[in-house]
Amino acid sequence: MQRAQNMASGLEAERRPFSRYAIYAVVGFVLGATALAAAFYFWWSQNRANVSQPSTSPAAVSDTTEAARGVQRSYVEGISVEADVAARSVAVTSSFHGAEIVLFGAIDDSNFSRIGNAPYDVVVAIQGRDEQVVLRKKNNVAGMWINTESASFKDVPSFYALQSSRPLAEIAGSAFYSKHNIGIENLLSSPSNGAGALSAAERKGYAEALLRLKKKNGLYVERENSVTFNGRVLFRSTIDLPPSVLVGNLIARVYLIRDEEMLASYTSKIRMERQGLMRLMHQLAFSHQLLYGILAVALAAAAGIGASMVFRKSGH
Amino acid sequence: MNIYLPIAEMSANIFVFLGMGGAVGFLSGMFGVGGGFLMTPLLIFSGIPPAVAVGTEAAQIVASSASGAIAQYRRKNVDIKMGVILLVGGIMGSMVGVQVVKILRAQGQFELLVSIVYVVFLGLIGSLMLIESLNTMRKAKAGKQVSARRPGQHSWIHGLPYKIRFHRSKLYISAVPPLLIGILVGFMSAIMGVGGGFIIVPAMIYLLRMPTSVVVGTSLFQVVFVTAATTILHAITNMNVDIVLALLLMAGGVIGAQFGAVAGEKLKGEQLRFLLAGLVLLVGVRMGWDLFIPPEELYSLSGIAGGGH
Repeated sequence: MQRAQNMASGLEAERRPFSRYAIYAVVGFVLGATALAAAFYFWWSQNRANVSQPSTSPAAVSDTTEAARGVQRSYVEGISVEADVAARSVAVTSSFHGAEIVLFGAIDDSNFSRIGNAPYDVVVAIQGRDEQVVLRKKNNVAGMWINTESASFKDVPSFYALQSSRPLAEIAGSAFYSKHNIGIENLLSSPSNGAGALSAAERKGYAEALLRLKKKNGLYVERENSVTFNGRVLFRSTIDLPPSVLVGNLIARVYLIRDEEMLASYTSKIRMERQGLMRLMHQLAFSHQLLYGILAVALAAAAGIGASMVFRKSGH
Repeated sequence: MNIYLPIAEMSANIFVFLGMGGAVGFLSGMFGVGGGFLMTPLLIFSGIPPAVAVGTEAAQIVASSASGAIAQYRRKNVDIKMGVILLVGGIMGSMVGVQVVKILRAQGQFELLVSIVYVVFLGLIGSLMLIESLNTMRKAKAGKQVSARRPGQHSWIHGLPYKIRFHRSKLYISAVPPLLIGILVGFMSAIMGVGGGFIIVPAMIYLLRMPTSVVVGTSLFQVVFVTAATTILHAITNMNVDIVLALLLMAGGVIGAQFGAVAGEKLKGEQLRFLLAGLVLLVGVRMGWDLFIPPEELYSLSGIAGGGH
């Protein structure tokens, strides 16, 4: 039908729809390109502003100095623990689907106190950045299941992995872990809600639900026998970071424990940040919302018109 | 193959969302509908946060209806004057809707609103379409002439003030009903992540009594601009438009729609409407399922919106 019409009215009909579409395509392209150019300009100017501040030194330097990595040590006479992660930063790019953190370390025991004593145990904790979370509880209202109650937790680690060389219960009692703030149960503050005070049972219900949901999503992990020794001094542990983890710096802590005694500990930071296109899009979406919205519409319009052009041509 | 969605903040399989876009595109090409009312529930079922599903779907509808709107405009099937009045109302409604999303999201009740609105609208429209298509099929079988619309009938609409002459639609009616319809459609677009064709087309035919020749073109005109405005408003207020997800859905959608259009030509109008009605009811039931069936987990977890950086 279309072909017949084209043939009947000759060249003019052939040219007209194409030139129309060419104009739409050009307009769409110009809009998209302008938005993209503006986006890059904002991104570039923001980056330049970051670099010009003396407080944030370039990444290459901050990754190597211990102070910048937040390294802290504590130890008893003669015994210390040193550790590091294979990759000191985790990049969230468009292909990010979780990461594997390889942590390794060594025990320095210049007194040879291990002779005749119980073996060492190493516990590794990787903690994500804190966030405020709201837990909602559904109740049946007129046959429908509706969120009716809620409570919020402040400073909840978005991710927490606890790995140990032996089952935690065999290494020490629960009093030891709560004293040293090891384990997610010992890190959570009690929930609150705006209106009235929560009863003890309600608080317990919310706290249990928080742990249950976080564990289900793979964000709270506890793995025994997952710190492996290589000989007597070298150890390593691998931690899987799920893709749903909140983007933000992580803290790695290594504890050296023997006979319910904290012999030494080591703390350092693992950088985790968005990079490349993900960084650009996140900055646009949250700092230049109008521009991001216009960009989304321009892309959508260009995609829709472009596709119809392609299919119109191939349909002949 | 996985891709990280920057706003939904999750890693997603590319082919799942390409396929989803393709499947809904096929159906929307076949039935001649926008597909937002199918895509938004599907996105929610697949784990995308409801607010992100609604914002992203608005962007995708811009893509899926833009080429149609241009084609209709070229065929002069758009009543621009009517379209502009609908659009003004649409933007007003969208502004309200976007604020409603923001408030309910902060209170944890947005999912509830989406579920209820979808159950009510899909149930209503699905049932009406089912009855209408069955009646038409029965009449066609009995050999009766299917009655068309009866123009020239006067109703309460003609008593309203601010009358305007719409040359293209051959109407002389008040501007109030189109404006109100526009507001309703804009509001629905913002909270449901739909274009709103399923409200505006029946409203144009049965309430405004516009000629069918301009109904599709004018509704597409309004849908493109209202969803564009909704996308921008969502981006500003709720920061819930995921461009990466939208692009995946668009890519699948435009391809699926081409094949769907070919498939649709082989079926009769009332058969199409019957199938679509079944589909609409099915999605409505699935939406209602979570609302009425006791959940396994009573608690749900959410971060504070805007708390991230």
